[in-house]
Amino acid sequence: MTLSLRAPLMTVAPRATMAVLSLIGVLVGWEILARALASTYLLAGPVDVTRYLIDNSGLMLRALSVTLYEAMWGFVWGNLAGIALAAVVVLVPRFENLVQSLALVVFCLPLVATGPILRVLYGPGLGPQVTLAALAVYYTTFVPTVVGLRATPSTWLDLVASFGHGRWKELTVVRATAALPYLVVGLQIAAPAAFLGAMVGEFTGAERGMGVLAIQAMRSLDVQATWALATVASLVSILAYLVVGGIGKYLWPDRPSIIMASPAQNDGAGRGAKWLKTCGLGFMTLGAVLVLWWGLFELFDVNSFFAKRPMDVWSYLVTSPKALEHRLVLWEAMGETMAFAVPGYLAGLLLGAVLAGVFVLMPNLAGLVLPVSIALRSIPIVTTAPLIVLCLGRGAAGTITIVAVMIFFPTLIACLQGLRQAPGQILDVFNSFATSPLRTLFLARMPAMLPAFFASARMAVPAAILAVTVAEWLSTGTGIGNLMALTTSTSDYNMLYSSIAAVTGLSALAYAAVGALERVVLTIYAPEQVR
Amino acid sequence: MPSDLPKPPDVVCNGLRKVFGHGAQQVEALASTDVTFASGTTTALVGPSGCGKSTLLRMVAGLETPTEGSVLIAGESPRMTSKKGTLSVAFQDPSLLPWRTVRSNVALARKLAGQPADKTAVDDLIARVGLAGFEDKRPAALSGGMRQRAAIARCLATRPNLLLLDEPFGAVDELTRRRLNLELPRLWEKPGATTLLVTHSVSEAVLLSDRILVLSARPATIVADIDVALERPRTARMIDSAAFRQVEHEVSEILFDNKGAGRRFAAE
Repeated sequence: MTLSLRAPLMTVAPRATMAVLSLIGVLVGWEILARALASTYLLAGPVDVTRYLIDNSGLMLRALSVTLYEAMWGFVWGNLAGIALAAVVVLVPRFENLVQSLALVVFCLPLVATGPILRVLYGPGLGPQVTLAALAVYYTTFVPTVVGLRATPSTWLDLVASFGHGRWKELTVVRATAALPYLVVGLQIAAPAAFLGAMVGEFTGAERGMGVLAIQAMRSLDVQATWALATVASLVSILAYLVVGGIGKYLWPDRPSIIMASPAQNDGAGRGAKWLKTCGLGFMTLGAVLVLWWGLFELFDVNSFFAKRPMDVWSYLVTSPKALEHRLVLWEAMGETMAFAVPGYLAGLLLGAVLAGVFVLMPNLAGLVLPVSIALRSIPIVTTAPLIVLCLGRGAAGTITIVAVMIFFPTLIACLQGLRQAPGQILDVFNSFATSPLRTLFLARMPAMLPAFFASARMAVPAAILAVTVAEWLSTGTGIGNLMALTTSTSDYNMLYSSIAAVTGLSALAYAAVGALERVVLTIYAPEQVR
Repeated sequence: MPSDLPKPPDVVCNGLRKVFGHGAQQVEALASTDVTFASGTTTALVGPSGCGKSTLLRMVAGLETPTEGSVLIAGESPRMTSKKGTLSVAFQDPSLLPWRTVRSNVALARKLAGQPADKTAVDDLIARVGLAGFEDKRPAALSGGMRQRAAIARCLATRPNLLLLDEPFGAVDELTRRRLNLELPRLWEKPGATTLLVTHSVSEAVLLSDRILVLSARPATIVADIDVALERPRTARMIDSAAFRQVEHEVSEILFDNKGAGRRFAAE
């Protein structure tokens, strides 16, 4: 019998009851806290929020419908793009590494800067928000879909081949079916992410929508409105997550355990050759990005005043007389950003992992807190950034908290799933020596959790960058996010593009670095996951 | 092995019964069973898949709580015996920790049992299961048979005097299994542990045990109790002997005519 986390809970109380209890607990605690802190004008309780929503129902509904509309189209386009890319990877394995790296680089684009640029390109309208929603979505669909398309049992493929069919048939008939459960997981993550993309799009200069109202409320220190908007954004995200997840669970009850697998290294080359290959891929990716960047701008013949080409950035940062000065500004801003992003990132990861361990040791506590955590996990914290800024101020604490919280919940859930990965028979071995739960946690469960932890740490890199840049864009007045906001409003497009290039490059490199670390961990802790 | 080791324990099961699930989904895995496993003997439990033989073994190991009845190991509860570290379990899956080397996996058992680390003894044991030279390899670098050898080494590392083997050779191919069957039991036969072996293979049961209990399909009941009066140590040549074939035939008869056996049992 496997010792699952859920089993003991089921006997204590049905899950639904626990979920309702914890929801009531949160609401009551929130209201009490709000009343206790009434004099600080930071917190609006559920009663105030509800009153505000009723009083302003017309406005809220109009804003919500705009944002939902953008999120929906972003969801559709982003997922279609993710699926199409995954199909390309499987159909043309030769381009696999390049497509994967390109997809990653595009995912690492800082949304707060892409937003305003898209606004210039698209003109007024919903285009930028829909595009940002799609950008926020496609990568988390692409990765599990590739894993799913690969997860096809090889005997199925042999069966198709034995009837004389080729790769196309293989993809459409066999692999597609096997990938569906994985796709569903991707779609579930995508649903709240699309909402996040739409909100960030609205933060950066839209005319209508929830994001616009949120910024207005934050700037005018309207506590009730800020809390009401954050509540609605959270509820919509949770609902989207649950609905897509529910449909998926109904259609495919078995959730695959490995979803965000690290990019495969499918060759048996030696260590030296591998390094060479990795470097080669890096240069190839860089080259492809530059060609695409230049090529697309030329193709659509966009005005070179606001659409800077790679050459412009190069001369701005390297060859122009003031290049050193430019580099210093950029360097300083990046430094400020990292000072927030790195502690927040590490704190979020650490807290998630530690709390997961605590939950395994105290299943009753987990039963109460877990439903709330799962709900909060689905909230893209960035949509509630105005609220955190309101509560924690514009200093370091607020920004670091936004980054940490953004990473904390996904890590917690991933680690809990990872802790359950310890095979039942290994736990039986420990049990047959009457080993204490704490010792079992450290000797068996924690090491078995590492693969899930590192997958989460890798996916958290772009999330951390997104969170920190949004926070800086909105409020702090420091860092690269602020630099992007500033250069957008002063039309200093050379600096804006330089910032984008720097953030994207750094984000992609950090992602690759965590991925490399992850592969080392996997070869030791989960050799079956490394092909 | 020194002779001053304490005598291996008797295992006494009194009215032992196990029911899984609640309400309408209740499944009786083991019907009320009285059985005693004598000190220092090897008993094989054979029976159809999923019949509840593993459940019996797991209750002796303290991994499952009996619904009714009790298990006494030298007069003590399984949990007490577990804490002393005198009991060892091996499973069908080698269940080695993938991130630990062979040596570290074997040494882990001593650590968990609260015994002092003893690198010489651990390396000696690894050599005796035939893994000399593989001490620093991780399980992923070993074949299925080698992993199973490592698991057996871990199982013996604490010098247990009660061995609970749950189809320990069930997942390896037939050739490897036969090899392990002949090589490994020597390691525990000499110190003379009380051994319970759950297996699907009739010839394995005959080869390894002093006594074979045949269990019926769910809920498991003991339908036959057969002595295996072959001399020890058992050898490859014995497998072809008439005496061996005779016992094998006897067990198979009962096993593959289980309905009849059940009826016969009920009538008695």
